[in-house]
Amino acid sequence: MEPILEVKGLRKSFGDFTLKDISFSLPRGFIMGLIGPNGSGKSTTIKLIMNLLKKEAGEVRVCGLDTDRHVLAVKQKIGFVYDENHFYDELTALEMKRIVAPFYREWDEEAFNYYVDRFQLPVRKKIKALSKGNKMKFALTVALSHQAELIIMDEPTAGLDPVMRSELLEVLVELLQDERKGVLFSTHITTDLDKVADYITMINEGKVVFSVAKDTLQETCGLVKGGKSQLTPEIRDRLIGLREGSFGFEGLTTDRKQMEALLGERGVIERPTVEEIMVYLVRGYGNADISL
Amino acid sequence: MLTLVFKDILVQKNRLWLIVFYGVFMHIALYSLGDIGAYGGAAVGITYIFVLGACALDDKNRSEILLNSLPISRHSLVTAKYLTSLWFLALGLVVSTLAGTVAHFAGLDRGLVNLGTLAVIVFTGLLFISLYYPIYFLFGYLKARYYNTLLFIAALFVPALSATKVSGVGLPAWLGYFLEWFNRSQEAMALGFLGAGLLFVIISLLISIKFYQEREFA
Repeated sequence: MEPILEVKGLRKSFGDFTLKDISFSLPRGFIMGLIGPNGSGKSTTIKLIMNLLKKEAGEVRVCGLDTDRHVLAVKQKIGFVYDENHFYDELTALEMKRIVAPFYREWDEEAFNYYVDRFQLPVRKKIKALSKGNKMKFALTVALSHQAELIIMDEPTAGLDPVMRSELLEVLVELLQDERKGVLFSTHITTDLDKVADYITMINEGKVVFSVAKDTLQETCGLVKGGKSQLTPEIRDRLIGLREGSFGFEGLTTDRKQMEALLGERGVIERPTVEEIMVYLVRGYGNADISL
Repeated sequence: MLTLVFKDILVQKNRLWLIVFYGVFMHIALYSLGDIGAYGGAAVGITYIFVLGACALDDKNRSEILLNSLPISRHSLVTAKYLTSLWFLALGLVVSTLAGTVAHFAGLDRGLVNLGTLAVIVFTGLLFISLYYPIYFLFGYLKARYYNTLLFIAALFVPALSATKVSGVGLPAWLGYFLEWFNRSQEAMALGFLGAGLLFVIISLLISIKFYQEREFA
């Protein structure tokens, strides 16, 4: 089966920022987290996938369809949730739904009503009167009401309380019981990805640092901790984002087995969280040799 | 596409009463500009206010990101905006005509609208639409706002100035003969203005589509 999303060699320049040859692929039935620091190129990548920006080079395929050649067919298959509200503040959620629904061939009124009930959305209220959480839930409701196969979310959980975030993550996990679907989820809150993501793609300074299965990432990488005397030049050279204190050191390895051999019984290698991997890689970016 | 036209009306539903207000207000404010000035100022003024109102709300809500993420082609988005403006021009004409007719029968110095007056007003409205949208679709609402101000002044006074021109004052001889023929036949004049206006709109629409296809939404 073809991947639900395939990005190949995507390039885009803005002033002094360049997105360089972004490539990754998301198989059906999985959630991919898109991570990276501010200004790394996550939102630009999403806007290129959505055809909101013009790519200078590269190719994007959704459900096997080229997004340049099959613009409308592709958008029928995508449900989107952005970091900000783009619905009209002046309209009620119900009026907004009446405007959006006719554009989708497979609009599912039953699904819409289901999510409205589930999220307890006050659909007769004007959008401007909805809380940030309800605005996001409304966007998610629309995204899930037209049989979309690919859900694209750009920082949907930013500014939401933990209860709402957890509710959103639950919905995503339920959604993927249908194995034909897929989710691309850009976020800063990497703990959300620890809970639900199957794949992680990290972008930094416009380049893909890695794009791998989360389990592989956490098995291959390791958070190395030890005393000062254990930090040999060999180990020092192989650690990314090394931090030294008066008692010991901490750093990330992207080759856990090699580090185990070097370290022997002298240190500890812990399974890192997605956030730790991101923080160490960004800190040590430039001298990191990342091959996952 | 009609859904998009409906959307532009719906988002402004709270201020639709302004249509009646402007219809009456412009007839009073532009009283001294004669029939064409007053009728035209009201109709084109209403078009201006609601066309820019719809664009301003798109800008305020950053809704172009939403609309361009939906399965809608960019040429449909552009065409819908032109249809919206034609709808407001038609509404402006109706309200302006009603206000002028009431003023006439109330004994005020206001003539009834005739085909020639209507033609000039429709032409001015179509000209405004044709001039505004290409700049809007090229630069977006905010960047086009200075241009908007100039258009606003033109939208108010061009109908009155057109009336002067139609009367043949200060024009080259060949255009004078042409206008004289035009003035002899109101039907010919109406057809001429309408044809020219529609031609401008079609050319403007094609230019706007071309511009909007290249727009990016960062």
